[in-house]
Amino acid sequence: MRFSDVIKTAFYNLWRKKFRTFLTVLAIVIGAVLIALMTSIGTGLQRFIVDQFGLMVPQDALTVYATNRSFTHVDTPYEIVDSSDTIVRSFTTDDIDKLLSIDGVERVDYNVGVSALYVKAAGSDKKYSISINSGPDYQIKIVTLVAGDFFVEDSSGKCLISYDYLGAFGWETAEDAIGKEIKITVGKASALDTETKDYTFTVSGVILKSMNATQIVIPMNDTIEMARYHRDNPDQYSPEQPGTSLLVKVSDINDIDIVADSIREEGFSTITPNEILKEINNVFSIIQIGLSAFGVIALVVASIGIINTLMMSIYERTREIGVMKAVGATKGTIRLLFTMEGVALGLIGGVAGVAIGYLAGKALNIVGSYTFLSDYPTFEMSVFSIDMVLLVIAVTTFISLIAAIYPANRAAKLEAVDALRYE
Amino acid sequence: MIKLENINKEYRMGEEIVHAVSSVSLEIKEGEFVALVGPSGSGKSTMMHIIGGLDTPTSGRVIVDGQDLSSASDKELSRYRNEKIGFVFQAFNLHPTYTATENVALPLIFSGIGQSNRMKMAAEALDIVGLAERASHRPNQLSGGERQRVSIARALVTQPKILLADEPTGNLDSKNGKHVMALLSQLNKEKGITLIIVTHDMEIAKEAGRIIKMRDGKIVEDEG
Repeated sequence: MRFSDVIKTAFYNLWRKKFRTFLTVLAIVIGAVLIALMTSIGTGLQRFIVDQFGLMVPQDALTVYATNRSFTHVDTPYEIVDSSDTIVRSFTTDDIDKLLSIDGVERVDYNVGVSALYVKAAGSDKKYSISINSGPDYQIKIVTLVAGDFFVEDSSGKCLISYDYLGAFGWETAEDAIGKEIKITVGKASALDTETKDYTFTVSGVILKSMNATQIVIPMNDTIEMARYHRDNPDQYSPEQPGTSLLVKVSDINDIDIVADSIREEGFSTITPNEILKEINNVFSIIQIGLSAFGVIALVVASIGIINTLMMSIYERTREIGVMKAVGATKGTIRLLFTMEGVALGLIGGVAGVAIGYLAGKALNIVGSYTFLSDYPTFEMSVFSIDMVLLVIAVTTFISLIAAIYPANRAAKLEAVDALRYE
Repeated sequence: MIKLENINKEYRMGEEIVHAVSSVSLEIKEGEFVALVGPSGSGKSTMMHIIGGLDTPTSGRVIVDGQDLSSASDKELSRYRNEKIGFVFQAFNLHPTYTATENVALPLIFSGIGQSNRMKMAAEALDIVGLAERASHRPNQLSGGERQRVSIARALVTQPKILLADEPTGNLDSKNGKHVMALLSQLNKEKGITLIIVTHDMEIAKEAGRIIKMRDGKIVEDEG
């Protein structure tokens, strides 16, 4: 029997019992829609998080720690061989020279940071929480501004504020915020010292809304000054005390893994943005599997429907099977015919399910963009990829194929003589 | 052409073993018209199924056209049924949603013949049984006699050497029965097809050149 005739016959037989086929396919469709939609939402979330990650960490730089310890590996307990491993070591001037001498390193900067107590708009008494972000130009410029401009690297007294501060400070639009003043209050690291100091900044830009809703970006010079005050340490972030971590920028983003390896060979530790991304992606793979599990359960239920449909079909068509055998169909042919019917059910269900899932995802994106996602114009809740579409169709088809095996074997094993006598 | 050597066929029915056919030996020559007659349960249908490759004997040898069926695989038997045998059933066993042509073309699907050739060959077979103008009718649009002629066309379409008809007139009135019998014996005479008819109707059997009477799984009379 020609394969094209097998396919034609399978679809013809399904078409003969339209309503029953429709119901069986419907169950598969539900499973396929669930898998497709859930996976697409997983992909959407993943992209969002990865994009946000890209807005927080420059992709061509490494944060390097002086301590020789694989503390970045949290997937397995790290055996401490040398007790000095447990001491968080600070960098030295020599270390910076060592880093600068590594091939592919463009520049090395202090990984500056300071914790402030609160922030106020000038002339207002309302205090708001704040997380200060700072760094060299290339690190600052990964954020997107909705209004104003970046400040230049060596400036001071300028700042970029998160979009969410507009509402907090009572500024109508992002443009209104430009040129306004804010006061950041810094305390002392020692809990016993209650002295505080205010630093005034002029808003030069407003950052596109992101998950980092309380960040205020200030120049490095100001951060260093504030950190020295905070810690009562005038030598903080100086060649003598570079800190426990440094920012290393690579000259070519493609060499980042090689540079990271060289840095590790020098006895420092680091983790590349790609490695972090891999971790994030791993987490999302698990989330996607979890989400699509609902769909898989639905498909398993649907496969019982397939078995039922095919079994009923075999009972109804017993004589027909007998005739087919009498006129020359082998067991293999009968098996193939019924298996193909199951496969066809899965294929139709998969294609229809993905199509409906795709439309539902689009609808979700449209509804989302007007409602709960209106602040994140670039974020799509549901993202379909061709790989995922093919995978879902393959999964429904495969499950249907498995479901068809038992009925198809039953049909193949029918004795022609008995089948012809069947009433 | 057909040679049965010491054929036995046993069934298990609950605790009991039924001897459907016991120690039957028989030879049928090419082009013969044989009627297998006997009361129900005499083993005549089982004999026909064994000759047709639908059933295998418990012991004994079946050799048809030089091919030993007793040791044939499912594939070999299927091919044998497809190429050498044409079955005509009492209940016609037509596919209810297929047209007459599609019904007739069914065996050709399993021969691996393409769609357009199938339709051509089916049309020719329908022409032989005189139903060319009913080609696109479905079984429920045909009379009983016409249905049986479609089923004869289906049996003929692969140009088999042997036609096996199990009570071919059993579901027909006498007029249509006569037509069908006339058609079958015409095929036997004109095309030289070996024709074996299973019947309990002696009127029908009389048309055959040879009548084999069976009872309790044994041949009790073989005249012709």
